[in-house]
Amino acid sequence: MSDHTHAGHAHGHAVTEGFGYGSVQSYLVGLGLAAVLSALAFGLVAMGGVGSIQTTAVVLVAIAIARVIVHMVCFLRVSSCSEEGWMMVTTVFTVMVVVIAMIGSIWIMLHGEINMMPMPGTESFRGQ
Amino acid sequence: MTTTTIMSHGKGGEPPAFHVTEEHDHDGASTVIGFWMFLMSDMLLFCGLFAIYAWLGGHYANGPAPLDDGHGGQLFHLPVVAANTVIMLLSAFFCTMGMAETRKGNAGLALKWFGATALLGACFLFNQFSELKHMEAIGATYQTSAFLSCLITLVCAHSLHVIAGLVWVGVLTVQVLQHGLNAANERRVVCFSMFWNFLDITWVCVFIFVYLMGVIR
Repeated sequence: MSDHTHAGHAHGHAVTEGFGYGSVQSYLVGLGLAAVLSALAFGLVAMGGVGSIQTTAVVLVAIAIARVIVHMVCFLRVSSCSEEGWMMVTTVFTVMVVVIAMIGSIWIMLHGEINMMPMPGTESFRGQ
Repeated sequence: MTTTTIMSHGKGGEPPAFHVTEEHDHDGASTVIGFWMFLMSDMLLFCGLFAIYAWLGGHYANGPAPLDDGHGGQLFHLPVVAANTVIMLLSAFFCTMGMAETRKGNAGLALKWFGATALLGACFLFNQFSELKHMEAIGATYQTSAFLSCLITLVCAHSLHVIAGLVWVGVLTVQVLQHGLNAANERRVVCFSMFWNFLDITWVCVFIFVYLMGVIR
């Protein structure tokens, strides 16, 4: 690496300055929140869910989103000012693409499925 | 293509250079954001795998289903999944602590945290591998059904990332032992930490969207 030769050593931490380091406290908060959210998700399923399957699924999705946000904020320190805002911008853009791709794929594929002839053998042993 | 630099020595002092230096001094300042963009594109790869699973996850082809492996048991073992979730979360925490110690300049402590991270990563891989072996033993293989094909692809894609992370932490340890925590190594530590946290984020999506959703389905 070229860093050994030039001013790399001199400015020490400057290379990663834009990256927001958190405090140990924020990491502990993140660990706690993530643990609670995960336990909540497993507990929910172990109890057999809340109400209908749809409600349980919605709650699970909400927990997943919350868990990812906790991780991004507490551990990865993504905020509107890390790396001059570029981290936030790329993240928001990726989330947008992910949402469009997921919703689009599921929508189209399931519609395709509905319009297919019923095929034998799509059920499991339990006849799901 | 070769770049020719025309230089002629003038009247002394600085030699006049008849070219514009396009490259500014590379001090690695853009590495972190660049690596973050790689992680975002990696997320799109997983998005594709999840989209396929969302579509094909219900195509059991008269084969094993999440709640019924055809041998009177469940295909998805939630205790193992829960153990893996704890392992991944703890390892992400350890990794972040290692990064914090790197920031303070404590190479020894940082390496201990990263060692713990690697150990947990290895436990995770062992669990995943055992699950795959078990699935193979009861005839739930890649070829059995569309559900199993995309499940195994998704889970193995994540496990391959974990393997890459383990290789990386090994190389990083050697680098830090040889050169200490210089600017280049600190940057590598930050990138590794982001990568490992990304692995945990992906695992969160796997355990919730695949395992837990599969069990309530």
